Amino acid sequence: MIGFNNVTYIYPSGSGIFNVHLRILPGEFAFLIGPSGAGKTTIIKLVYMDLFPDKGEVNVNRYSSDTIRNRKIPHLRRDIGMISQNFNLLNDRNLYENVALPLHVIGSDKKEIRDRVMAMLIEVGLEDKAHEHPWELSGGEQQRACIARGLIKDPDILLADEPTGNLDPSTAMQIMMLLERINRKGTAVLMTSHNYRLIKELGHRFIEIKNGIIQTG
Amino acid sequence: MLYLFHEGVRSIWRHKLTAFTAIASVFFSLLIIGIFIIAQQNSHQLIDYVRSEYRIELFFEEHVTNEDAQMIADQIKEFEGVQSIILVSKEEALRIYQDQFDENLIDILGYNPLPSSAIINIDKSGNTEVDVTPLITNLESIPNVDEVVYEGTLIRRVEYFYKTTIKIISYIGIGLLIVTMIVISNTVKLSVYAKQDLIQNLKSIGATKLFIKTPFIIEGILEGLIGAILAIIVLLVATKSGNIYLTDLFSFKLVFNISGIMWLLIIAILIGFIGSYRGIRVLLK
Repeated sequence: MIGFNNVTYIYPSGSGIFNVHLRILPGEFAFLIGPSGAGKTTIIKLVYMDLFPDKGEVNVNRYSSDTIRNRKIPHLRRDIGMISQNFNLLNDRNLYENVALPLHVIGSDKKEIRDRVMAMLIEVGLEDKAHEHPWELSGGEQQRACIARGLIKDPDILLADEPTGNLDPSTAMQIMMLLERINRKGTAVLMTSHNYRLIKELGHRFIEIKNGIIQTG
Repeated sequence: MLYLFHEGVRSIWRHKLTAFTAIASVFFSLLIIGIFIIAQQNSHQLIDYVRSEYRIELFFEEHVTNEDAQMIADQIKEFEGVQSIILVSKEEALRIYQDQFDENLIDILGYNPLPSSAIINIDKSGNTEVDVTPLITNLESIPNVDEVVYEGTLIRRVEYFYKTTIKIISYIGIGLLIVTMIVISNTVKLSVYAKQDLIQNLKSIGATKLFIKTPFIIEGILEGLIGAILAIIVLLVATKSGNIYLTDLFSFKLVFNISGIMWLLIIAILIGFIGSYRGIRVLLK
């Protein structure tokens, strides 16, 4: 599903990731942990091919970083759900419209969009907030909306970049439970975090990265 | 597609000030271009009238009989640039002279001294300059032709003036189009900058470049069309009111016809498309 074969990516500043080997299997839940600047977000960006390795190869589903054409990158991303600590919701449209956006991108019809968005908002417990704008929601609600948007196209992989970073411990735990539930339905989840205490009890694989080098996992 | 169109419309509504700037600049540019189109369409009427007065008179030598004159006239009809030819026989010339001066030359001189002649109407359709010089050279080289009379200086002046005016109008029009395109392009750039978060979101959820670009292009085309429609309304009202006064004074009537309106709409769509495409292309690289 996700494979990193001896991948190196170096930023102009000299930081980056070095000789990374990594495998995430279908339906797996894995945590990518490490301090800030360790290279977690770089790995996430390499997975959805926002960055390309200087050395080595990244494989995601049937796509390879060596051979993928620019016009195929949107297709790769349609199989990936993305959530981040900044939520990245669009403030000029309501929750319903934010969650519906990925379905417009894949050309779904109006009825399908309505049915799926409402089902997804029920799934994340935001059905009453469909017509509210992101700024009217709490941090936890915004993150749940972000998860709903990430999952609306039923992706194979969910990339969660510090999804609990801006949340209080109780809300963060609710988000973790939601991600657990999503994973039990078959979606592979790769989640970055530097909050070891939050995730240590969940019983999933940890991949530890420090200074761009994988330590364990 | 409906969603993308809706996004384009929504974008104009959300960025009213920048959209207003683009619409206003399209409006003023197309107003001036529309005035040029009206001037061109109506100067065409005027130049056609002036050109209808262009005549070449050809006098045959005295000994040329009416039959010989007819043969030469048939030959001239085939020349390039000749629309029609009217033959004036010696007898007709005498009658015209008598009508105009109330004198019978035969009574005075004892014979008809007037030669047969021909009036040549030249072909002057279209927007291109009418150049009579090659035709005059041809006519003068025909045997038995005594003299070719034409208003050469007037024709040259009228044609030069017309040609220069059309050239200046075209240059100013092209200049205005380029300026308008740059304004639309910059407006779309501002709109793109204001929507960086949306573009990043769309990219991360797998939107193609076409999907991202289309609302901006629709926005540019709509701004162009709104500006054009406003300019067309103003021009129609202006020509209609202008005609109320003009018809009182002259027999001349200002025309702003459907082809002019279509041109303005086509120009608006093109500048909207090219301007917005340039704006979004640079920022999406």
